Amino acid sequence: MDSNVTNKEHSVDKEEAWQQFVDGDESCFKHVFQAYFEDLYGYGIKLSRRPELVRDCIQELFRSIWERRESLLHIESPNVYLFVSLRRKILKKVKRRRKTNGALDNIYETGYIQFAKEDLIIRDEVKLQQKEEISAALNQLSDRQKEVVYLHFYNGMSYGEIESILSINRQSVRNHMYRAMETLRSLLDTKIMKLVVSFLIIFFIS
Amino acid sequence: MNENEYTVQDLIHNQSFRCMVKGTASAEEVERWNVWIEKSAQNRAKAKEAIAEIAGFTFSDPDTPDVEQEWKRLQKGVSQKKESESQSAAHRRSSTTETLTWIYRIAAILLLGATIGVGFYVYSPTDTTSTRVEKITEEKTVRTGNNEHKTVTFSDDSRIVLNSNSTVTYTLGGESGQTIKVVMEGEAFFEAESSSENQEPVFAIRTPDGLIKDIGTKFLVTVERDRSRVVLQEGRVQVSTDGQTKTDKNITVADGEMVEFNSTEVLTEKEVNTTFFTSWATGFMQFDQTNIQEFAGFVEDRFDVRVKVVDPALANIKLDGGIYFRSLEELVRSVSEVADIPVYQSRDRETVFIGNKQ
Repeated sequence: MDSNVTNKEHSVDKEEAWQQFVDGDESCFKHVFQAYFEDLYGYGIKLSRRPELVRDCIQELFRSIWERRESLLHIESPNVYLFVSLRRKILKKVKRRRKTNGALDNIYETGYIQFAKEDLIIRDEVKLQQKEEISAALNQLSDRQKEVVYLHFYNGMSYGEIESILSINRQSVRNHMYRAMETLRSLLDTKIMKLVVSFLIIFFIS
Repeated sequence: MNENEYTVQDLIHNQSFRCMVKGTASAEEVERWNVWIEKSAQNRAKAKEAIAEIAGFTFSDPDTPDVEQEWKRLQKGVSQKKESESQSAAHRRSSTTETLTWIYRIAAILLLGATIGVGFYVYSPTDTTSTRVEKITEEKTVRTGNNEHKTVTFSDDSRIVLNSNSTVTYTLGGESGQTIKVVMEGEAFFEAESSSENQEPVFAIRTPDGLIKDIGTKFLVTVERDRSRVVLQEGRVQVSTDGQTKTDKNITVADGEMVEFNSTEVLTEKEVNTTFFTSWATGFMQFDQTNIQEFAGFVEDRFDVRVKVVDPALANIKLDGGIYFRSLEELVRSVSEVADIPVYQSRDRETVFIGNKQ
């Protein structure tokens, strides 16, 4: 499929580096790796709490990108491509690990992780009680809702991109977002406050 | 206002943007913001900031490992892989295509010798010819691991798509339009773009059981322990088993046919739904009065999951038409939506249930 050139002309940094790389400029590979690493790691660590596993998956992903560099021109959105690929790799590894290690390992890999008030970092003046309420509200979200919220809020992904990354349809993205925001609404829409949530959740993909 | 010039404050107060963040925007509004966000890195950054303000919270940056260290590790991994690939390619050259290589070597020596002779006679010597000789013998090996696909695209747009745990070694002719010689293991999908005036096959594929040549076509080749299989989606393919080569009896595979053969004989020759075999490479599946049980069997074979049809009443439902998909989830969802059948996946993702669970 042809890529949409008009959509790309204003993009800078990451996407430009990617484009130059797939166009044959191998010197841009380092830039691509560095530009996407943090976002990918941040997302990966929400899928599995194991830093080693996430780092390994990112290594694998970029090794395969290097090997396939001559056949990547068709990729319209590197953002989506990288997140989808990393997600698949992590889920495969988590699944394999579950099979190998059995039930003992489940506690680390399933969605039992709760938001703790200690995981919330307060920016601006927000009372302790609000912090607890926010963490409680976030914990009420389903894992899929958490994932949609995280991709939209932290990575600034559009609904279209989230749809592709999670392989769900657009209406589902809207439904997840609506339900998530409804759950959080009473707390979050009354006044503008800004919490920075630093949480060690993982999304268990059922 | 020019939408490219939205500030974060504009977005925070924009009713449509607020609706999008809350999941209440219409499909058209969502589409408009999709385009706007994806348009540039600046837009995305502004959207992130506005979303955080509207929602009232955001997430802190992850505690990231040292990127420079990770880059060094990647560089090391890439260079090690390169080395091992070139070693194994060299090993393959010496074993599987030894004869071919020797023919090229002799041709190269003769050609080089002739050129040098002529060159000494007429001009001062140059190294142009030796470069050409190297090009003629260009051979590459591509491998895939577990759950990995790779696509090799040639300059004429012909393609080889490798399924997981497969290997192809291909030798390119020096001139465009020359047949690409392939030795393969595992499974690969071939798409040959042959010009009408070119009578030569694009691919000649050597398996342990025989030789497969295409004539402008799309087809799948699978090499198993005791047999090779060709599934022809489009065009025409000629197969010569090793036992038949001398007697010049070739088998021509027709559209929609599957042929299985070993080195001495043809084992199976029948019509099949080719898209059941090739969909992993093409992302397309055609249903033609396909019943749910056949569909379930396909999903099991192709995606390595168990499929249980839990509602016996569904057995009579037939599927027609074609669907495009990129994953098991998409395939199952499409079928579920089209046929209006509930489909569930178990929590461990290893079982797919078709119909309402009892």
